[in-house]
Formats: sequence, structure tokens, C-alpha cells
Amino acid sequence: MSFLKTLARMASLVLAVSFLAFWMVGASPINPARANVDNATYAALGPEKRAELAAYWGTDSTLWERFLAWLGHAIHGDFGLSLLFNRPVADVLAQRAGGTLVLLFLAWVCSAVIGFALGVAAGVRPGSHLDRAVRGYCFILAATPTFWVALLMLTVFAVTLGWFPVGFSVPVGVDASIVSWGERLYHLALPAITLSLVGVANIALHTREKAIDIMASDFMVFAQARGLSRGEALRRHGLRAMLLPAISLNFANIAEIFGGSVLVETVFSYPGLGQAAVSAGIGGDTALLVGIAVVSALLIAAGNLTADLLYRLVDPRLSPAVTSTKSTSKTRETGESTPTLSEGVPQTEAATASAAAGGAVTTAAAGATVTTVATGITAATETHKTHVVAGFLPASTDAGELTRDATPETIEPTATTTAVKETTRETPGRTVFHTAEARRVPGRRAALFLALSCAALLVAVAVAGGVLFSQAEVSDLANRHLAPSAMHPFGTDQLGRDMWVRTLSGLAVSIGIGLLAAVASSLIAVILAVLAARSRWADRVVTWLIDLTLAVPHLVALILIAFALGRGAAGVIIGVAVTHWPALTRVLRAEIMQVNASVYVGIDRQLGYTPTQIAWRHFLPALFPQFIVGLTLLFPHAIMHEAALTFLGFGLSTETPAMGIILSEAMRYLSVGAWWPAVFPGLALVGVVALFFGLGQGARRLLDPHQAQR
Amino acid sequence: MVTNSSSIVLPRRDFLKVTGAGLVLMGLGPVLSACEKDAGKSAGRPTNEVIVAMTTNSEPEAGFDPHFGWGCAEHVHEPLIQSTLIRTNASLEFVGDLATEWGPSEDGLTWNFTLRDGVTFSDGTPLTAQDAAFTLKSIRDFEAAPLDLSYLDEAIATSPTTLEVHLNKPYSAFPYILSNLGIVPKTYDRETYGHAPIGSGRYLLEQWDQGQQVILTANPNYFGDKPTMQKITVLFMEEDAARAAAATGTVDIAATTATFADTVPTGYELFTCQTVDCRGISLPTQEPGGTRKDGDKDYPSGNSVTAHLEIRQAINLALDREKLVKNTLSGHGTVAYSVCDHLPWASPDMAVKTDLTKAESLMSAAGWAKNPDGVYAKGDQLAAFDLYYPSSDSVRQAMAHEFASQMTAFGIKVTPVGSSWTEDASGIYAHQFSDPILWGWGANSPSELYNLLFSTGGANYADYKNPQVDAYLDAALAANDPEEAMRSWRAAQWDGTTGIAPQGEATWVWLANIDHLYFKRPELAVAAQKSHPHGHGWSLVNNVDEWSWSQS
Repeated sequence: MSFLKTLARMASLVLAVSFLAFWMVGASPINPARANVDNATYAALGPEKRAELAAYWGTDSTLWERFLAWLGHAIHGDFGLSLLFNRPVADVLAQRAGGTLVLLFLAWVCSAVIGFALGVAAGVRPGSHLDRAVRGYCFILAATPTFWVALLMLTVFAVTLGWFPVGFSVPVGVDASIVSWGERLYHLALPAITLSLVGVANIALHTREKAIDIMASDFMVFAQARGLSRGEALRRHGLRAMLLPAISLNFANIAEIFGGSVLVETVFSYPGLGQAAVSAGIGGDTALLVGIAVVSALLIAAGNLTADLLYRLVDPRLSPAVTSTKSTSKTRETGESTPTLSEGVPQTEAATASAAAGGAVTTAAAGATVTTVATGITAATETHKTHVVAGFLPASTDAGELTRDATPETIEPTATTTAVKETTRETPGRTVFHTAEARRVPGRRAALFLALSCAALLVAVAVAGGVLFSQAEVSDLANRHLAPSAMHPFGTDQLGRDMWVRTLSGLAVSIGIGLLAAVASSLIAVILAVLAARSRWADRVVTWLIDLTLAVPHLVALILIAFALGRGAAGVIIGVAVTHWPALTRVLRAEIMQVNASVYVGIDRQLGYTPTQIAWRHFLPALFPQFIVGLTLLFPHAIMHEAALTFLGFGLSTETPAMGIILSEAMRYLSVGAWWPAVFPGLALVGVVALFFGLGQGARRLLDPHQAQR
Repeated sequence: MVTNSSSIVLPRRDFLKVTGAGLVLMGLGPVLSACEKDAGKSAGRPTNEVIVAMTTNSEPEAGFDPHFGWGCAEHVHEPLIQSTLIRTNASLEFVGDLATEWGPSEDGLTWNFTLRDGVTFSDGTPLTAQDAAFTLKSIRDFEAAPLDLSYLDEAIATSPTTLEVHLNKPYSAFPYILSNLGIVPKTYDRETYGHAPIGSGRYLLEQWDQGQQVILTANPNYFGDKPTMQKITVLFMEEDAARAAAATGTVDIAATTATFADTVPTGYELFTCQTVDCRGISLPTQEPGGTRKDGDKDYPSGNSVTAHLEIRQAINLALDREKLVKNTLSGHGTVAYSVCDHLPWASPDMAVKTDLTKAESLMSAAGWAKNPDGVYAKGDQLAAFDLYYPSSDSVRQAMAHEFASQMTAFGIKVTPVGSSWTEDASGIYAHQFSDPILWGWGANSPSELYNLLFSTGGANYADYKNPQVDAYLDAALAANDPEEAMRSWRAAQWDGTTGIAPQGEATWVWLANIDHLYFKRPELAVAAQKSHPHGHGWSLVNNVDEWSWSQS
């Protein structure tokens, strides 16, 4: 039954994805009849020939005609002809998908292993040198555009050191029949490692958060009190609990890695789906682009499904044997490896939390799973650390939220976590361990100082860049590629433009684009979250929209949107806005439900406050901090995507001094020795992203009622 | 992947261990195989093979099929895998390939070809005049072919070795088209041909790893001289990747650009090919307000600034092309005065010397005076316009900026606008007849002049209409005598009193011919090259069958 539901859901998503792809390609300003011949070739074509070409590329029929015709064939398994490659789309996909899937899989495994290891290493001893190093490393990765990393890897490991080939999936000039798997893997290695770096930061930072919480949890404290060493306790109890959220993170990471593969394939001349998507986009090959969108949607949906299944497999409480709320004895049956209660079982916390919440929160926000677990082990011990619960939820439920965002430090990452923890605190007469959090929360004054100084610096950069904007476009080709000097502190670029002025203006432009995109995205999130809270039906629609948005990798969606809207700032801003709202929506939606079910709202209702008054008194203060946090977390994403889009040629006009343009132009000249146009703006970008993180941290500490109370 | 059924039996702890071990192995795989590979890297290669790196857009997406433009349209070059009826030699004179004799009738409407006997396709079937006739008609009738053969009425094989082609209008540029048009067998199948081409050319398609490389091997049954190079590997790479490939010694010759020309990798030298790959700016000649039809759409035409003849002439006079070549191509190019410099149909009257004084006097004579900002103005009209260029092209970006700064210094304010080849409001095509645009041209056929200059020509972006010029162009196409055709082509550019030359209507301003640059191993001897047309691709290997390695 639920399997059929899942299938129906997937089918509806695929249908929607394919229509959206059609619509966006149809709206694109590309004229395929013209895009696929050189201007010189087109010049030689008479009017009749031009009309014939237009008919062949289908630009003379309506969108609905084309979509319905495509759908009719697709239902019978015929995905049409790729006009660009003059081959059936299925053939092109089959040829390209192999390379991409192996690449994705390797990168995904690497990022999981490395990210988890780094996260645990850092989280076991927060504040240590190792922890600082890991955080610094992840932070730099998160603030560095993927293509930048890829080009650097290519230069260092393939060109300078010569350890890896410079591109392709097969050796040069060798008969395909004698190419061994070893050689294929060898060609795959560098792109895969590069791609895995995309996911490492995300996984490491989230795992670190989990590790800190788990290390401070009662069962770990208890285990160490019994005489186990920290390492033993970690190995016997901790790791397992940390692994579960990591799995969830990892499957949700597929979409991000898929998006990154577009960039990595371009840099490493690797023939995969990403490369084909770019060709199809530029060439206006609708059938192929739709085919790729459908494949990626299926891939991501399959990833989520696998995550669900793996959870059931790894976590006994989610196995079919305990899905009905029978008795605790069932839990024990599922496997001898289930930790016994005396060892300080993590799952008991879920029970307590759920019991405290009275079931109201969990049913709505987290779905049936937690409730099941809760009722299964109701009479458990009185422990209160609840972070672990989040990890036990399948990726497709709210727990997935924390995984979608590449940014660290979402200390209250999942809706459920926040919800459950909060309710625990509301319950009087309990002892709560605050150690882990207390260490990480400095005083309000420090937070205020941090936020204000970051904001001041950002404003200063933006103002300076705005003032210098007109100078940033002044070119002087007689003075191109001048090394840094007193006259040009950052040197000059290939058109002789001053890089200091250009970097400042670029930062100003990027801050503007980033802010606009982040605000737009956050507003979408607020509206949808409020809608979702209104009725069960609306909630279903919003959840479906979330799934739809997550079904297409951000970068592919962004390319499509940039095409449909024409290139330029509008395309980037709207593209980022409409692809990045789901994470925040999930958080806000859960926040609303939690507040709605809380004791104090209940009391206010009974006291006769109107809904508006309640909204003003309780909902707004609860939503605002999340809104601010979401905003600051989205900002670096917007800048990274602007940079990535520009690198692929779908972004802003090259006259605009924007970070993406500056970096993508500069990378081309690295190999001829002009390092300054790439290095200084790159560092400046990392700096600005750091300032935004700082602002977000400060703002969250100041505004979050949970933390402010302390 | 561990299957569900087995892992249900596995205790959970063990399952995790198994999975963990698998993950670690997966991670190590690439590292291990990397160690294997390093050992056999520097093995010497045979001297009858060559590896060439080309730009990614040189890869024919739809395959090696002339129906989709292979050789004859997308990038114009010899098709290698197929034979053509005739070819051009290094000085662009026609020589036979499949045809031993050819020529037009008195009225220019019928062309007769006598074909070689005994030529076979790579599948063993004989090549006859029927195949040639089929190819011409089949490409004419295929709606997606990017080659316009609508002037072809009928092609008839009058015997296995004689072909008669009837045109519906005299077309003296026909042999230029034929020289790149590969002959396919009459059993041609559109679905399979692109990936498994059957031809009678110098090479066979051995392998095509789409998106990566093509391997060609010498055709043992080729009717002409045996190729010296037995195996050609062509890699399709972006220019940074191609440079990286050269830096690691992966390729023998790699296409590059002026950007990288000063940093030649160790073990390579810079190899320069002269081209007609020219860059020029269209200067719309009409007053704004009108439209011009292109395909099924009407586009706005005309520009209030470039509609002034003195502005167009002054731009041509004020531009220092030498400086532009130095600043934008680091000297790896030549100044350009027309779309066809150095070709037989080029006109010497297109050349113009930089003369600021003359340019200034033209402007003041027409009533323009500089305003306080140093920009020419006449009444309310400011001498200022936008210059569109494709932002993905770094060389054109540099040229647009250099042109803009030279013109702005002269008093005509030019604003470069980086855009894309799209139809939206900010796309280049939306502005193609209303704003100056930095185009790239250059073909080994005079028909390009026709396209650019004829009033209804497919590339008349200056929207210039002159019946006298049209008459010369028609006469050139109708001329049976090649010399007479050349005279008419030149007269269309400048006949002593009228034309599009800088001293005449100055409908375009030509900037530079871009050298095609390659990183080449010094030991590789590349045969003499024809002037390369626009498009940095297969032209280089037109005569790869004559390349050799010097013994060292």
C-alpha cells in the first residue's frame, strides 16, 4: 500500500519535472535552429532553408503540442530523438549515465567516509586543535566555488605532479575493447575526489554537531562513568548513534553532488550527464534535457527511498517488526545487538520526549515513526537528551532538512529536534544536561559585538564597492595583467582593469544578489510554511512542492531557470530563490506546529486571546530567529551559484563586476602565471562569506529565544 | 551493494562492518590503480601516428554525416572519411578528387563531372556517379541539413562515371561547396550513418568516444596516395584542458589561443597558421524605426548614430588596427580590412590607413563638435552607441574593449555589452540589425561576400541596400569565367565610385584576422596549410595524410 503510494508520488513528481523542463526550454531565448549552426553557416541559408530548420527543431509548434506528443511516446518508453546528437534520447542517456553514476557513487562514498571521519574526530573533542582545523577546512571548502577547487586539483595533481590524467574517462588513442577497469577508475579518480570535496564539508560539520551532542549525552557519560575509556565508549555506543544521521545526510547529499558533477565534468572533460545537460541546454535540445531532468529526479527519489530502507535495516525500531505499537518485547527480538536499557539506550530519550510532548507534536511534525518508537518504549528511564531522535527519522521526513543545506552550524538542524527538545524543557522538574551547548554559547554581549562588527564590515564593503562601481569597468589593454603594486594593490586583469576596484565592486554586486536571493527565498519559505500549517491538504501540497524542488539538482534547475528568464541578475536571483526555500520551509513549518501545540499557546487560547494576538505574541518571536538564520545560511549559496552559473556561461553579463565572473575569468589565466586576479578575489569572497556566517551566528544567539533565556 | 535478503540475516553490527569495509575499498580503488598506471607512462609511440587536441565545439554532435553538416557546413573542412568530387589545393585552386574532369555549361546552369573508375566505399561496394547524385539530392531534401542546396534542380548519373548536375540559377561558387561535400553511398541510412560512416576517403572512423575523442585509421583501399599518418587521434577539449594536456605531454599538437601563446609548455613550440578568420563590426546603415525580416521574425533595424556615413567612415579611419592586434592578440594576428583579405576575391581598395586628422575633419565637416565630455555631438544627437559581443569569447571581449577605448578617445563613445547568441531582449540576435555587433567570419568561398553584402543576403547585418552592388554580386555568381567572377566580386566592394569600402559606404569596420595557434612538438612536420577559415577546428588536419615526424 505504502509502496504504491510512493510509486504514485514518484510518478507525479516525474510528470511535473518533465513538464517544467519542457516549459523552461520552451521559454528560453535560445533559437535551436540557429544555436546549432555557426553564424557563418547560418548566413548561407536562404529563407526557405531557415524555415525548414525551424520546423525540424520544433520551434513552430506550441509548448502543449510538443509536451503532449512527447508524453504520448514517453509512456510507451520512447523518450524521443535527441536532435543535437541525432540519436534516441535513451541511447544518449545510456551512454552518458554510466560514467556519471560511477563518478557520483565514488564521490558520494568518499565524501561520506571522509566527512564522517572528520566530523567524529572534530566532535569528540570540541575546541581542540583538530576540531579547529577541521572546522576551518570545512569552512573554506563551503566558501569556495566548486569549479575553483576542480581547476586547482587539475592544475596541481594532473599537470604539476602528473599523478592523474588531465581528463576523459578513457586513455587517449586506445582501442575501447582493451581499456581495463583499472584504467577507467584511474581516469575517474581525480574528478571523483574533487566532487567528493563538495560533500565533505556538509557531512563533517553536521556529524560534528551530532558527535558533540552524543558525547555529552547521558548514555555516553554513563558509559564513561562505568569505566570505559572515551575511545571505547565512542566505539561501543557513540559511533552507531552518529552513523544514523550521517546516512540521512548522505542520501540527501546526492542532489548536491549531482549538481557539482556538472561543473566537475566540464573541468575534467569527463563525458557524463552533466556535460550532456550543458550541451542540450545550449543547443536547445528539449528531448535530451527533459530526459536528463527525469533521470536526475528518479536518481534522487531513489536515493531518498534507499535512505528509508536503510534506516529500517540499520535501526531496529524502524524495522517492519516494530512498526505496530505492540510491546517492548518486539524491540528486543529484532537483534541481539540492540543496546540494553542498562547501557543507557539512546532510544529511550525519544520515548521521554515524545511522552512529554503528549504525542501532539510528533504526530504532526515527524510522522508516525517517532510516535511508534515512543509508545513502544514508554516506560523508559528519565533521560532528556533528545538530539539523537533526529537521526532516526527517514530522510524523506523532516529530519532530511538538516541535510539539504551545505552550511554548518545549524545547531538546531531539524524541526523535530527543536520541537522535541523544547517540549522537554517545558516539562518541569527534570534535570537537563546543558554542558555541550553551554560551552558553545558565549554571552549576549559577545554575540552582539560579533553580529554588529560583521554587519558593519559588510556594509562598508558594499558601500565601497558601490561607490567604485563605475571605475570597475574601465579597461586599459595596454596595462593588462600587471602584478600587484602600490598603484594596483590587487594587480590588473586581462583587460587591464584594476582588480582592487573590481573585487570591491564584485563583492558589492554579489552581496546584493546574495541578499536579494536569500530574502526572496526566505519569504517564499515563510509563506509556504504558514500555508502548510493551515490545513492537512495545504500541508500535502507544500510537501509535494518540496519534493519536486529537491528532485532536480539545484544547478540543473538554475541553468533551466537562467535560460527561461534570459541571463543576468534576475535569472540568478529568481533561480536561487525558487530552488532554495525547502530547507527553511521545513524548519518554519515544524516551528509553527510546535508553537501551536505548546502549553502556553493553549493557555492563551483558553484565556481568550485572538489568533492574531497569539500570532503576534508567540508565532512571530518563534519564527523570526529561524528566518534570520535561514537568510544568512542562504546567502553564501546564492553567491556560489552565481559563480557556478557564470562559469558555465549561463550567468551574468561579463561587463558586471561580480565574484562569479571575476573568478571564472581569472581561472583561465592562472596557468599563464597571472595568479593575482584569482587569488585576491577568491580570498575576499571567503572573507565575505565568513562575515555572513559570523553575522548569522551572532544574530541567532541574540534572537533565538531558547538560547537567549540562558 | 549488499542485497536486502542477505543483510536481514546478517546481524546489524556485521552488516555495518561489511558496508564499512566496502566503502574503504571503494575509496582506495582509484589510488591503487593510479600506482599501476604510473609505471608505463613514457613509452615511445610509432612515428605514423599523431594525437591532435581540438576545441570541444569541433566535435560533430550528430556524427560524421554531411547531411548534418560534417565538413560542408558546421565547420568547413575536408571531410577525410568521405571523398569529395573536387578539392582545393594550398593556393585555393581546384583539383580533382573523385572527379577527373568537371566544368559548367555555357549558360552556367549545367555542371558535368567525369568520375574515377574503380573507387570503392569502405564497405566494399563500388562508388559510382549514382552515389554522387544521391548525395547531392539527399542533402538538398533533408530539412535539418545546415547547407542550402536549393539552387540544385537535378543530379543525374548518365553513366557509372558521369554526373550531370542541373542548377536553377548560375552559381559560380558551386565548386567551393562541392570541395567539402563528402559523397555517401546511395544505401545511406540516416539513423546509423553518423556513428558508422561509410566513405571512400583517406581515413576510416575506428572509434568515437563521444564527448572525448575520435580515432581515425588510414583507409587501406584509398584510391589516392597512401597517407603517411596511419592513425589520427583527435581529442576534444576546452583550451585550458588542451594546454594541460600539452603540459603533460599527452598530445602532439593542441589548439590554443593568444591568451596562452606566451607560455608554451616545455617540449613544444608555437605553431602559427594564417587565417581568414576575421573579426569585424557591423555598422547598421539605416535610420532607426524600420524592421528587417530574418527567418519568420521581424527585427528592429537601424541605428541613429551609425546611420551617419561620416561616423562610419570616421570609425574606419580612426581605428589603429596595429595597436588592436598588439593589445588583444599579443601580435598573434594580422590587421583586417575586409572579410576576405588575401583571398583571390579580396579587393585592395578595402585597405585604409589610420588617419585621425582626416577622421576629425570628416566629423566637423558634417557638423559634429565635441561636447565638454570629449564626445562628438550634433544638436541633440550624441555620437555614442553600444557594441554587442558574445561574452563567452575572451578574444572578442578584449577586442570590444580595445575598440571602445580607441573610439572613446577619438570622441565616439562606445559601450561594450557582453551578451549571448539568443533572441531575448538583451540577446545579440534581438539587436542584429539595430546595433553594431562584433562578428566573426571568414570562409574559403566568395559566397560569403554575397551573404554579407547583397541587400537580401543572409548576413547583411549592416542592412545596406545598393542595387549597383547587388548587380555586381549577381554578375559574379553568374560568371562562367573565374577571372571575370573575381573582377565582379572586387567591384562589389569598390568599383572606383561606389561600394562598401571605407572610402565608400563603410558598412562594416574590420579589425583583425586571428592567427590559429597550436602547441606543437618540434619533431612533428605539419604540411603546408590553406588559409584557415573561421572556426578553430578540423581545418588543421585537412592534409594530415601528408604530415610526418622528423627522425631525431
